[in-house]
Amino acid sequence: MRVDLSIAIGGFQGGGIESAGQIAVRAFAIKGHEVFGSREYHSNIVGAHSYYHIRVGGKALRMPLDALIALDAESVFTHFRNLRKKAVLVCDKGSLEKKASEIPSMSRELKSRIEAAYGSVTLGQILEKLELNLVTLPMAELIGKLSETVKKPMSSVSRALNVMGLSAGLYLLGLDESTIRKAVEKQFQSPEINLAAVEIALEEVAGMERGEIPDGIRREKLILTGCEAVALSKLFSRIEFMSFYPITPATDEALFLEENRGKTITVQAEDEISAIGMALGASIAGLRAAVTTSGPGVSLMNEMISLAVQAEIPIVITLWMRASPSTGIATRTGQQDLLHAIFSGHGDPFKAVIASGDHEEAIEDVRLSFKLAEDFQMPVVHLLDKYIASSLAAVEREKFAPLPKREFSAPSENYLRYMITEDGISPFLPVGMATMIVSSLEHNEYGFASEDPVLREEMMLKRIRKFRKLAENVAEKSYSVYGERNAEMTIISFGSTKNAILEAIEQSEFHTKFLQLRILWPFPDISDEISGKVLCIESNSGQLSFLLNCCCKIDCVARKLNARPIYVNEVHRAIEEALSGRREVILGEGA
Amino acid sequence: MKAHEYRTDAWIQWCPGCGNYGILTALREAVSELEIDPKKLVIVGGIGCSSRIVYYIRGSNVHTIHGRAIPVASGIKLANPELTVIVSAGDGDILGIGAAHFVALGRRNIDLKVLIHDNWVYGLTKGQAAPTLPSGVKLRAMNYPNPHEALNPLLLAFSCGYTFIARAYAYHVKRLKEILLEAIRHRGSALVDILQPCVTYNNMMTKEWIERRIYYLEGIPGDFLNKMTERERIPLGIFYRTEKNTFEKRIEKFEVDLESLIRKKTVTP
Amino acid sequence: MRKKCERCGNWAPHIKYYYLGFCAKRESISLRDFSCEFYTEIKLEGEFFWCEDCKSLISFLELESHMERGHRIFRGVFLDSDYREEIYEG
Repeated sequence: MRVDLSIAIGGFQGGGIESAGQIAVRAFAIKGHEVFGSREYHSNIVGAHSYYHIRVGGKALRMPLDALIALDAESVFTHFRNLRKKAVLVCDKGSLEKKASEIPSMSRELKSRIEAAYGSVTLGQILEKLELNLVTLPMAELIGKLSETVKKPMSSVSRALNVMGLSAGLYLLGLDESTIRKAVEKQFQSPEINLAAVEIALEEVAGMERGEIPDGIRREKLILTGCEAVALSKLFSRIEFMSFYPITPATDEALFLEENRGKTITVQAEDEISAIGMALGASIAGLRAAVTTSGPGVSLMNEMISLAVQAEIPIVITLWMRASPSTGIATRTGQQDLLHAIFSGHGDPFKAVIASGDHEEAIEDVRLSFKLAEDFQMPVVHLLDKYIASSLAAVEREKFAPLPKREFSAPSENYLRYMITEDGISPFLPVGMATMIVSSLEHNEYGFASEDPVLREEMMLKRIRKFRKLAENVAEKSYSVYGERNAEMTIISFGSTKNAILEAIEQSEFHTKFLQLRILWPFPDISDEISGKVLCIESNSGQLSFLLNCCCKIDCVARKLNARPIYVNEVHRAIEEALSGRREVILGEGA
Repeated sequence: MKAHEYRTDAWIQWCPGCGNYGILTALREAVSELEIDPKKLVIVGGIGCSSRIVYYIRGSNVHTIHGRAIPVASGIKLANPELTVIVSAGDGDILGIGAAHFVALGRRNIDLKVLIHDNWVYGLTKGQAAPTLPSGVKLRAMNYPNPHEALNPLLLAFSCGYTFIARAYAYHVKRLKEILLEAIRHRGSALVDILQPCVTYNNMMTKEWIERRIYYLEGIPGDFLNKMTERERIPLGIFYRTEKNTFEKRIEKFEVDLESLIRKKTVTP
Repeated sequence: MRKKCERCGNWAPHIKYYYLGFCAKRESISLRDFSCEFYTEIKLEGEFFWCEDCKSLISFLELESHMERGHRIFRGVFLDSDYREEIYEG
């Protein structure tokens, strides 16, 4: 039986929110339900508000929330307006006495919005006006109890507060104790204190009115964050060299790969320029190489990307987009690097740009990225975002597959690194196997620098032919079409909006179809796929619509600009607004 | 293979009198003496007059972009340790735009040889002050005297952890070759700062100016820091040399079982 | 046989114009096949020479291999001192 829930678990950064979220995701997975979890956090080491948003019974997030488990008052202030009527709210008893103005870590903007709406009142006074299923826990007391039970000082048991709040919440939603315990056991190496915490929390809420969560289809599930999925897929693809410079949200991927690198050479570089420079060097020497970074990193890598184009060096750049411009909001999501990815690098920067819609596509696209980079000897940008990076989802084990190693034929007597060929692809040999010059300057077939106009034209045409060959090669994989053939509306989008849109068109009362662009460069021809009105949905100022303008008429652009993911309910709203003739919709939900 | 067999068909584009000719000759002699197979010789250039050397020696060479020869060379060496990888670029390239990479290379001690073609100026862009040009000096093409202090490549290299530090002079081909031989034989990050005139733009540090000041160290000096900082006269030779683990040896490789990783991430009902 | 400038040790050919060069003795430009009383045989001493066939400086270490190939070697090369004014940025 399908269960449909939207749950947030909030607390302070460093207060175990990530663990709590993961436990919750695993608990629902153990129970046999489809589950997806997304982490939202501040660019801060410790103390700022952070939360985990969990969707049960779907692959995308939706609002409103059915439950909020709040470990502190700030979490309630941040999310209470996202709660539906009669939603479950679990929070600390003491929180109710707090006023928004008394919480220094909360943004001024949120405080003034709350005060404007409710006046300078306590949280308890606000909640009284709302129709909620409020469950307050005496956290201080419970922690004391736990300390006594496990005979450990308060200081070492207080970190189990997250598990207490969470297990109480999950129990009230209808999960059984054994499922909760299993999920907790999976999370910690020595779970004794946390298991005691579960017991104490459940005693506290025993007998209260609770929901019901029946068993789903119970089977094994591989649950990964986007970063883990991509790193693991790189390892399965026999990556041989990976360099990076620490940057959110790419670091999680880099560190996971580094930890499990095996024989892969991994280097933390002094900057992103060096990161890609080293990877290009390794690739020139014949290794399968990739870098992982975010928008600011790609800004620094631009000149190197152009080098890879000119010198025809395979390289995969995993680009985890985050809210920009500049440092923007480093820990939040967005799709603002689409045009940047496509046009990065000066001077006709031929490359492929691949965008994945979810974890499973990301795993496949890692392989595709390597394959295209190596077959066409050019940079490939694998476009992902922070939303995918830090969200947990179940993936099929079969999505992971090996990729044959790079292989090179024996060198001929007069090897020409840039031999002019019909399809523009010259046989690749790494340095060390033949004499050659790999050159950033315009060059002849051997690699010698030349400014000859006829040669220059030939080399430009060679690179153009190669790019056309790439376009032919990827044409069939360029986009996916979902929904009804002759729909009254075609939604066009790319990247992590996929699952929210899929869920929305499935539920929608209108006849809609969804055109998900997978290869963004070379830009696919989609003109034959359009039916009815065209709605473009994206988390940026309108970059995809800018590109689409070249091949179709767009009736409405729905943009999300608040650095939060797009929710299923927002897609519904966009469809309705577009059908009613609106040309522009701003989607703004999320905390 | 004889030195002249390392020649290529490319016409050498340097100005007559350029110090790069001396470096080119000495490097060809050195790789010939070491009998390095041209396929296994990788010269990596940045951008500038000196980096064009990649077209003038037979090898499996790479011409990169301004300031970035060191990262690319590092990747190549880490990927295939059996190659002899030599970075050849100007003082502006390595110590100006590429300084971060020069610093990081010393910290890593990757087995690379960095040859700085040090002529105090940016030649290819018409004679601007490079990071090694002393303050107050106004060369031919500059609009005003240099407002920047000069950096000392040898001291910088020492503080970064380079395990071989030498200074040479481009037009003393035989002595330069001897130093290059030592640098190439060394296992670890090696710096050879090679003084050279820029006949076109450096009207102060001319051949005569350099030759009046230079003298050769007798063996590796005990007070190498003093020698590195000597100003009136310019000592040449090997200043410092030590053995440390190279980066290749610092990164551990192991067997990884991806299936067990998958199992770790799998939840079972 | 007349002792032409192009065989004279005082003379350096122009970097590009094959027919003229510079005489260090008379401190003036002269044509290649000119001759005068100051003629002196070329002595290839020093560290660097000009190979006219390669249009390139070569060192004494490379001298032999160029000579073997019949290249014309001079002690130097002549380039007008104003050339700097006419250079574009690279």
